[in-house]
Amino acid sequence: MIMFGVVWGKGKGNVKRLMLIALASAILTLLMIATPGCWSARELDKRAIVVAVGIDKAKEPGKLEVSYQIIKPAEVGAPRPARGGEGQGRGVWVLSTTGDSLFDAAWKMSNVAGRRPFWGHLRLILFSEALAREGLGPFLDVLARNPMPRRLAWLAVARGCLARSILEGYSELEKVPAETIMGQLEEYGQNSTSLAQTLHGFLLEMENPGQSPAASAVELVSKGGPSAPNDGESGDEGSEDVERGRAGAGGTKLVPMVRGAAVFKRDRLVGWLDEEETRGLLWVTNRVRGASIVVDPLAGGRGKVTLEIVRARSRIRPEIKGGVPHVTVEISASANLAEQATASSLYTIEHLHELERELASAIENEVRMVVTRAQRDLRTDVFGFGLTFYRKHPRQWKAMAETWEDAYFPHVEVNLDVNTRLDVSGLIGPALKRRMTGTGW
Amino acid sequence: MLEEGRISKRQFFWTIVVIIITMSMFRLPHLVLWRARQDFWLAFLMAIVLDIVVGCFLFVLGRRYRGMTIYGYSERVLGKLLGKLAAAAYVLLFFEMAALETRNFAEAFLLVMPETPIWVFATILVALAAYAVSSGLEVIARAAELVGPIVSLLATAVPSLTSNRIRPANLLPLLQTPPLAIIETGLVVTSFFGVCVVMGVLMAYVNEPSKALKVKAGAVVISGVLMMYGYTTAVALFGEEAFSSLINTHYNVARMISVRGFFEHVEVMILPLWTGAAFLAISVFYYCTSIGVAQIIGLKTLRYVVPSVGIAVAARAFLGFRSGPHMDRYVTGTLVWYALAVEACLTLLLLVVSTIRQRSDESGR
Repeated sequence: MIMFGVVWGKGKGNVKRLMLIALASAILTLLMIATPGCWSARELDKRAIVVAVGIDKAKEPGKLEVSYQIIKPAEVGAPRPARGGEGQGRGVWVLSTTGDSLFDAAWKMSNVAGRRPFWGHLRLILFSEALAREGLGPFLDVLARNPMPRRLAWLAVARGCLARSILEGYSELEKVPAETIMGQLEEYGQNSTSLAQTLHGFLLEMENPGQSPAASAVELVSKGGPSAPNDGESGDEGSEDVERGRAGAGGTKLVPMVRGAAVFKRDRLVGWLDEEETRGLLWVTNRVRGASIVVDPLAGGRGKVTLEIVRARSRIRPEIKGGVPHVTVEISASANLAEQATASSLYTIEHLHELERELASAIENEVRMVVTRAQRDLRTDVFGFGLTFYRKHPRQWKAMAETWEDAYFPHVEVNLDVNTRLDVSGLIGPALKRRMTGTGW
Repeated sequence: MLEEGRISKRQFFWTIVVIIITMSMFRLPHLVLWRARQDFWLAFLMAIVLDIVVGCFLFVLGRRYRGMTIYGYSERVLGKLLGKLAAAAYVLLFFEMAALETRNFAEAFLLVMPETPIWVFATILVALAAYAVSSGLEVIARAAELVGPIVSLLATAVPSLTSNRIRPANLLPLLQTPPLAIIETGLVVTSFFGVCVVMGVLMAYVNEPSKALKVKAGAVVISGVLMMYGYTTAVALFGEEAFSSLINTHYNVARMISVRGFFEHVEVMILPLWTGAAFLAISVFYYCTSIGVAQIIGLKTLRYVVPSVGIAVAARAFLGFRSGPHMDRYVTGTLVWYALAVEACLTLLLLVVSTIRQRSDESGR
């Protein structure tokens, strides 16, 4: 109709002008309907904003239970009561639905919440350990296919507990508990002992030839509740031997904590890395941002020296010698003398060099530990050594591609070339010594 | 005369740039990356070179038959009946491209507004294009001069903003795709870029036709390189996924923008890019179709042609195509061969016959 209007508009003076005005208004109206999204507009107060999703096996076999942490806008906006009980002032609601697939379960969410979910702010995706052990591939499809979830959301596996219990975990600081987990992931670089993996990164590593993925690991640790005597002083971690997953047992609050890494073979979880092993993995894959490393120089227990890693880079160099794949990992790290618990002055060139060597061997240890573990126990190439062969030696790679992880990777010789550099940039150079009597720290 | 207007060489330049950007933005990325993998750039280079060669043919013809469109000189070269057939072949190509790009554009919009029926986007876009076409070439070209720089800027900005997440090593290894696959892919890209045979129509109206070839070659090279940058970013971001699973590649790239955890959720940025580029390219194809139809039938105005072509384009766009895999097969199969036959072979045939005729005319004198 509009198109005819255009043509008729070519007619005479006034008619033409009228037609043009009519046409312009018609187009503008159409654009007004189409462009700002009024078509399927839904007001914010009719939306359930999902910040985190946890995916578990449902009790019924073959079904999934999906839990959501959705924001309670009124609670988040309200000032926090000074001494509130548990549950009060909690800015989220955790609810679950079950279904035959991830999409199927999520689709039912509005039936429970009474609002349509909004996925644009979904920033944390948690899988239970049990599901991860059976393979995440089938569940990642919808996360990559559907335009709603963000690829930059964090991807983590709940270690030793249900994904739902992590979402129900407590946060001392945030009204939205997922914020704490995301904060821990964002700040992983402070000590580089946990892996911060995004959905995007995981998909990339899973799809790449010659590499198996790793995901973030979240567990529940106990935290003394308000009744605990030394609240705030007992440190952040709480007791290690908590019965994982049994939230709230004995009045303790369970706090989610990001630690270590979940290692996969293709898409199946095969094991967990502890903190040092995780840092080893990060050294190899050029993801160490910072760390504190304690060395014990001048052997003989004369005092510990703490070094702060300020810069680190690494590179994997693949070589094929006589038909056998070799790998050299080049790591260079700059550190700062952060703390020394010894009275002897380290403010000499010789001592600094010695500390540099100590640091290098500490780094080497961490790397060796994880490489051995991956090659012997886990038999999975989380470092992407295979990937570097695919990129550098594509011809030879073709022969190795199919059986890389089982036949080649466990026997790859890994050489380390660690370069360290130490600076002293604090406010004192030599140690405080006059009054220092304590040793052995 | 159907068209009284004249366009400047700068307007001609931007028109070609926008057409190439549109052609390489929708659907083409995954067709290219899935087959040519890390060596997609070879396919691009091949297309750029071949497209410039075709540009040379058109340039020679355009200079030989001054002020005439490709429809006009087809009849002059091949005789009335054959000439009309040849013109119809070009018209069909432009029509198909207008419909295809309308469809691609509408499907892209569906990603952002999934609940809107597809015909809404197709209709609005074709209606706007109809307005532009009925206003004449000058209006389209002036719009191109305005929209072209914005579209190019956005096409550069979107991949650039993801630079904090790219892993350039994903671009390796190079030169591992079998040559045949690269040539096949190159032909697909060539058939897409080859729609620049619109030069055969537009050159008649460029006010400095002697510069047309230089301008066209420059436009193809610049926009080709610009789009290669987008593809390179996609590969550096997604690695193996870009070669096996991703579709709507450019949208996926835009979704990866996240600068300092603050500048994110900006994939909407891609909407003006899509709209501006698709609107102009479709207008140009629509225009070339309309003017061709009018010329073949022998009409003096576009009055009745524009609405009928518009309805046909919109109908073809939302009734004539089916799902993604159907379209992929059509675009890499039938359409490639048809497009190449028309763009390259038919144009070359025109050039050869015209040269022979000219020689015999000269010797006859």
